[in-house]
Amino acid sequence: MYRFYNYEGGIYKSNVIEEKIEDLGGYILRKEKHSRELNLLFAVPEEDIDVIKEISDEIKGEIKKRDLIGTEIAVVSPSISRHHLPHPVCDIAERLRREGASTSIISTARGVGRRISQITREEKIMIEEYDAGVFIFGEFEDCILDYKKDILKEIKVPKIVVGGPQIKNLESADTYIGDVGRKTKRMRKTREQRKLDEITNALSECISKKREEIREDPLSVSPIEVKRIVEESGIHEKSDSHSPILLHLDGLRIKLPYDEYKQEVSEIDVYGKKLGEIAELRKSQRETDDIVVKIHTESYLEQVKETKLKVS
Amino acid sequence: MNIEVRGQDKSGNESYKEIAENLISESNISTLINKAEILAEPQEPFFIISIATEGVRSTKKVEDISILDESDEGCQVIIKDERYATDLLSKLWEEFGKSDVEQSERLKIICHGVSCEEIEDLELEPEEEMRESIINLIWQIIPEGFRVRKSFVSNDKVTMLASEDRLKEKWIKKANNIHEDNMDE
Repeated sequence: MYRFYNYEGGIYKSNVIEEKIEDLGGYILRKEKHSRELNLLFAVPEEDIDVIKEISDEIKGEIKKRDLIGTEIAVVSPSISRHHLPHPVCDIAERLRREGASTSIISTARGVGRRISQITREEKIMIEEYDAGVFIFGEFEDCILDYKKDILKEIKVPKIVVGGPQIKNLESADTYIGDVGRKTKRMRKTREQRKLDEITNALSECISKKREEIREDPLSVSPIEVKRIVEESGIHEKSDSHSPILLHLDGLRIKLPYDEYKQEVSEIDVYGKKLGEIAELRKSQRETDDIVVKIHTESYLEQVKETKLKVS
Repeated sequence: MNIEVRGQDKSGNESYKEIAENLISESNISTLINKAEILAEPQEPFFIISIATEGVRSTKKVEDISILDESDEGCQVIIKDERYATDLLSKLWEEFGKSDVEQSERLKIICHGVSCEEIEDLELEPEEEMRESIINLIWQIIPEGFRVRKSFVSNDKVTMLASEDRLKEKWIKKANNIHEDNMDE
């Protein structure tokens, strides 16, 4: 199974690492050069990372495991008003991006207040397109414990909730982190930076658990391999986005209009099968109508095969 | 500046004190605010905020804050108190149009083709602008979901009661008491 890592080090001899990653069947997801420094986000099979680490040690680089690479995270705020934006929503999203995640900010239409706060079905579906959600709540304990938690109930993806009061256990949330409620300034203080670290760690933990679940019931093809195959088909070049294909834990987001490209994408050949056969293609709830690809598990495909045999 | 926050939710009170402090210090009227009082009871639910100001500028006539001098080009307005400069310039633009009003120096405005008689009786109402700024500030501080609001306004003070439910008589009384208490001080 592929794991995601980050290499930071000098450019000198870094091509050795790049070549090794490719030799091992790995993928370089992002490569950023700053003067003589190189930042590389890559994925390699878990059992092969020691080989890369050896080379990295030789050239005095550093390799860190980054669970958030290859995920798309929704940062959800109760509204788009100045009460909740830009801080702390953007501070959290920025920190998650630094850790390698792709983030989107979603503001609910009627998420403010206590009794009146609500989430629509469309908003729930939209949040569930992502691998996990970070929800920002307000300052009053009573509001969060008695009302806001209901917003989370039916959302199936991992949920990290942040808010002002210190609450030990928030029902319906995977983790609750206090002291991050309404912010009027950037989260620059050491105490606040630690809170951002806490959010990142909690989210990484949730993502690791999710990856373990996937490992127990593996996908028929790894999303990273599907991404490469879709890129080789060249269809992503029709998208205006600078990152036309985003990795999810169990699939991809292809930033092309669903109605127009669904057929073409589902016909792409993935190791002898059509993409439409090994994955479900959904229309995103986002205004851009992206194609959300959810790859089926091996067990599911086996089950379908058996059912077909019985019928015939 | 004194900010007092009361209510049953202690952690909420501390957070709102910080929010109010930050928003007031970032506002353009921070130096004029004397006291802010908040009563937050989210269980009820209501939120009362009262902001008292000091040194509110009263309505001024242009001739009180400037020296008017008739010239060939028109009326020359020499501002005596710089605090009124922007308000005065805006007022003159509003009355005579931007093309005829020229600020030639920091404290000197020439109104082309306008006689001093036309200008001397004009009045500036900084109070109104100030009240607007305070209300904007209050809107930023109170929880966003509390959209049913009632405000109490007097010369040097604005108090607002907000809730997400219909306003109860006892809350209105509380808000009124806070408003009047602050006024006495």
